[in-house]
Amino acid sequence: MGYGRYLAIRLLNAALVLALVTLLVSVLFTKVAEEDLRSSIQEQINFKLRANPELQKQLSADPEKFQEWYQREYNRLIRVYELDKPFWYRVVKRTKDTLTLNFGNTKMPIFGETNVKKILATAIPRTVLLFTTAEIFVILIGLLLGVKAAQVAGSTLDRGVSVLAMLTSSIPMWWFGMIAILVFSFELGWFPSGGMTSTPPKEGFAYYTDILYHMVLPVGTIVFVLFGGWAWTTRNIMIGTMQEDFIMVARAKGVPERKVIYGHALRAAAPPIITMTIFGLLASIGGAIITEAVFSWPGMGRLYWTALQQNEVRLLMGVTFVTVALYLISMILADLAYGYLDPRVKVGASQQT
Amino acid sequence: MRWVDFKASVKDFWFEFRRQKGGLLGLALLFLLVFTALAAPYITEPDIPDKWPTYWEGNPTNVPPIWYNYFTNKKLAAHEVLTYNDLRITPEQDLGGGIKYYAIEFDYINQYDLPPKDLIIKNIGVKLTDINSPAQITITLVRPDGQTVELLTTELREGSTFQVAKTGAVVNNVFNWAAEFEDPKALAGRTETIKSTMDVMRVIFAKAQPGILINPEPLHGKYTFLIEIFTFNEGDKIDLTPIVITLTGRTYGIMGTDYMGRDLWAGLVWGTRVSLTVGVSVAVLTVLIGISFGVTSAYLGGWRDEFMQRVNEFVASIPVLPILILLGAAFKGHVTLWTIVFLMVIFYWTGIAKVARSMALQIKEQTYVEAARALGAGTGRIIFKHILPQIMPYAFAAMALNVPGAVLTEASLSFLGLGDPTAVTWGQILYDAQTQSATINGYWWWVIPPGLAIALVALTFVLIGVALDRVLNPRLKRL
Amino acid sequence: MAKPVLEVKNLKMYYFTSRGVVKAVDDVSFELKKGEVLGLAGESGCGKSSLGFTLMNMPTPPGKIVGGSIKIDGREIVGLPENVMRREIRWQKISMIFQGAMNALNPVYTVGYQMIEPLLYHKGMEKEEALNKAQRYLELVGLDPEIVYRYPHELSGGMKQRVVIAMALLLDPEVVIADEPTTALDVIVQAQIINLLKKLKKELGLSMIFITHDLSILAEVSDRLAVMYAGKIVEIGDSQKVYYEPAHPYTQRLLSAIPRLHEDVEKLEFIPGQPPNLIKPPTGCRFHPRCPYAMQVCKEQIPQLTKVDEDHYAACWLL
Repeated sequence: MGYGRYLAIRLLNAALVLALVTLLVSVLFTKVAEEDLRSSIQEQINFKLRANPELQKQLSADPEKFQEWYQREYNRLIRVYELDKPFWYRVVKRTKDTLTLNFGNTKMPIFGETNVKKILATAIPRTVLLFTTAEIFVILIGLLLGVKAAQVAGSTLDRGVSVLAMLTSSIPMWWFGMIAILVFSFELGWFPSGGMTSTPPKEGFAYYTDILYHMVLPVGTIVFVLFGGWAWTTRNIMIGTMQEDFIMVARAKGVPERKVIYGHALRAAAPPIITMTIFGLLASIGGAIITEAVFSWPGMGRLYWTALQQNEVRLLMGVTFVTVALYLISMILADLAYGYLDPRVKVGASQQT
Repeated sequence: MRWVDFKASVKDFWFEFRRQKGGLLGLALLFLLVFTALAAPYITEPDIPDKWPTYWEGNPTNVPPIWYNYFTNKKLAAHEVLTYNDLRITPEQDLGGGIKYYAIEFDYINQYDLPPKDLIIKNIGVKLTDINSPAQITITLVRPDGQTVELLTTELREGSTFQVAKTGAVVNNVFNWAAEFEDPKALAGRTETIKSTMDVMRVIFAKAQPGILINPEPLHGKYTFLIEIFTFNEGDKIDLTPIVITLTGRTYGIMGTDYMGRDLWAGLVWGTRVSLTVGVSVAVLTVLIGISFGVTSAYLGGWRDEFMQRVNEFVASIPVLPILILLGAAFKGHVTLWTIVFLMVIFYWTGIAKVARSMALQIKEQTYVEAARALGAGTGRIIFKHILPQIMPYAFAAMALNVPGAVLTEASLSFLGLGDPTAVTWGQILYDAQTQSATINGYWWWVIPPGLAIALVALTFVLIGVALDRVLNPRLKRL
Repeated sequence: MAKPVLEVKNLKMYYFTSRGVVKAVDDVSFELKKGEVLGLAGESGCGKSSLGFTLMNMPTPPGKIVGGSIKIDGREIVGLPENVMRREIRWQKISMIFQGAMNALNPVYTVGYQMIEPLLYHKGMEKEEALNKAQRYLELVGLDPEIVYRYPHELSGGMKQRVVIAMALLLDPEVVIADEPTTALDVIVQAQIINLLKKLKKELGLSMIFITHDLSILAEVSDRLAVMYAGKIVEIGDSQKVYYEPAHPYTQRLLSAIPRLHEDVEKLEFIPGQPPNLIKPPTGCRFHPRCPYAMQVCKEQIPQLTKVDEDHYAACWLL
């Protein structure tokens, strides 16, 4: 299968997944919105009645007339909110809103905002900051450790990496975050237990160091739980590569050992390592988001937690949609990265065009 | 595969597996977990799942386990429940004039630095003939230093419960008694503040000396509680057999309690059931579906194979957790364990299907399968006789390796409050811990054990899975 | 006769595996003279490829040289520290032509980069200059010099093999070891490569050890021929003599197992039995379990190489 065709299929796939999620979000949304709107219609009618004592007097005398008036009013509002339109019509309309990130407003303000789009715009950079920082550490440590372990396969270090990978892959990341708070925040008091800044936030340069200070525990948690698994993945790919003939050839050519490992082996193993890394990252996003909630980091994780705790359906829809979209974009990026790093794919593609 | 061959291969397999130390450890852990799950009603109590969502009356809330005392220099009182047989009962005495007298007496040896949190008396069977003329109860304490403190005298009616430390009258009585020993300067003008903040139980178990109210020091020794009951009408009846007296501990049981006074040990033990059930059912179902899908796809070939591959890829690229969260929220309140299992199975079969397909493709091309086909063997025969037996070992390893993911996902959903509300799960215990800020209050006994338990289940299956993989996958065996 | 560029004496290389010690190269001695091609033949698993890597002083793990000596141009290389080996010997004094059809070229680097690596590391050449040199050698092996900018996957099997040959010759080494350079190529390409090697030998005066299981190729390219069996050389000598008057029963069998172009053979022979287990090799002559002429002495004592003729030696109790 050519790379171009492969990429096309992946793109199509991502589009399909996004469509499915959009539809799911829209259907659920429409249902919830309907309940919301019906109760809001009741309220509006009652309000109208209370605001107009004349009408009230007139209607309370004649229950039949009241019924009629009520029904008329009700039907009018139903039409206004398009509740008389078929369910699927409303779903399609809602789909358009979802795709344009029009999720409406939350019941209670979050981060001082009620517009879901604006709330998301505040939260995403914070999550990206936390997650990318952690991942840079994970990849660096994992890569170095994995390569070292592969070099000395079977040694104590190598076995240590395997055992560590087994142990940390069994731990729920968010639970480890709770433990980190218990130990480093409650018991030792070294780090704050949560949040992104002190309250009230500091001024000037201290504001940034304060954020770093608040990042230590959550980043440390993510790194600790993930780096062992990464090291192990890298190790397995590297061991496979180191058994390739061209590694022996490089040694025979008198290439220095460091260059053999980091030049030849790691470079040749890079495409699978990169893809595995990105896919692994994607798989860990769920855990990381929950971990974020544990540390009350005001990002996407917090939004999930708040949305679920306070029943903010619109927010949940928004946050789910955005998460899935980001996930799919990263997946495409992984495929592109693979194509870029592997000349077998890259050159093949350029020749076709 | 003939039975003899099967026996031989099982024997070979066991020979290899025995040398995998991790795998053996995993097996031992699995045995322990299954035992715990099965014996849960006997280790704890059979009605825990029904009792779990309710407040556990009489239990202290948020207290550490008993063994915590080994690690602190301040010894905390244990939780004690006394019933009829633990008490010295003076049977009904007729004092004449329709007045009857009952006495209950018990000793309490205080060896702790922090005494019980409360003294709760309940379930005294009272039958009054005249509702306007209730019985009377008096609770008195005789201390090791000979001091006598009258804690409370009040009405006793049907269904009365006395929480001594939380009763205003007791606070007044104890304050008045203790104030005689306290340094008057310390009390000046602060009576109300002290009353509202003082820990009654600590005061009555403290040395009678200055500081008794401000900074009570524990007085160890034998304390005797005397409970006297008077009834004033001829027909009044007191039944003392069902009486329950609770000395609410500052520690409780093997694992302490949470904010609802629930025994966390019971939750921990019962949680094993859910975790194992969910993990194992998801693993078995995903492997069954994955293998059927993969083998069918490989066997059909052509555009059907291509199509099934695309379906697989499609499902595989769905981000599972956000979707599960969304669906969980949509079904909120009426999610059952089986819904969760079902949802996970829908998403998790793809990896196995992929491997099963490529394995089946290889096997299909082997000469002996072609020979079998040439000899007229049917599709079913080839699949069941040749392809499946070779894939089965892989299937077992895959099952074991799939359990941890399922266990962790279930825990994550429960932790977000999206689990089965009727089940006792570790994720839920941690969810409660999170909503009640257990971490920043330092309730370690509430946070650490459930997570360790989740990790233990996951680790058990990782160990078994990796060992199986090493035995069955020769490339890894070498390393 | 020119003086030997490669002298091997009593070389022993064992693999230390978990199942036991595999004596892959066991007490091997021979010489290679300047401008000569020594063919090394034997069944697969007899230790001939192991010998090739051992001569580079880089036995594949878990192999170790346990004894003997290898002298290149008079310099002993057994026991040399790894960094000296790397900087002074490998590729400069002794290089290797790998099976190019296999995975000898790293898929993520251009052909040119992989060729000039040794020039950059050992000669400290500028990249430009090194590439020029690489292009000259590519032309020498009959390739378009522009392929220095290509990636391995863009080349055919035969082209890759030529690249690997050019790469091995780039530093003008004293000794070149060709390890099955024609295996896995189709017959036409095989013939082209053989002709190329013959041409290079003539033009550059290569001293080469040519390892293959294909005796018919060796007859064409080699001046001298060595036959290995179970880690030992059982017969060595002038190519024509070994080929037409084989002295060792194993060589005789091996030769009768290949079809010859100019002779009518009724039936192709094969050698009964299995190659021996090198962890517990047979006592005495290692070929005795499969030898039709085996005697009592064959089972008890190891035969030494004895002179059969001028420049023709064999290790057999029959002689």
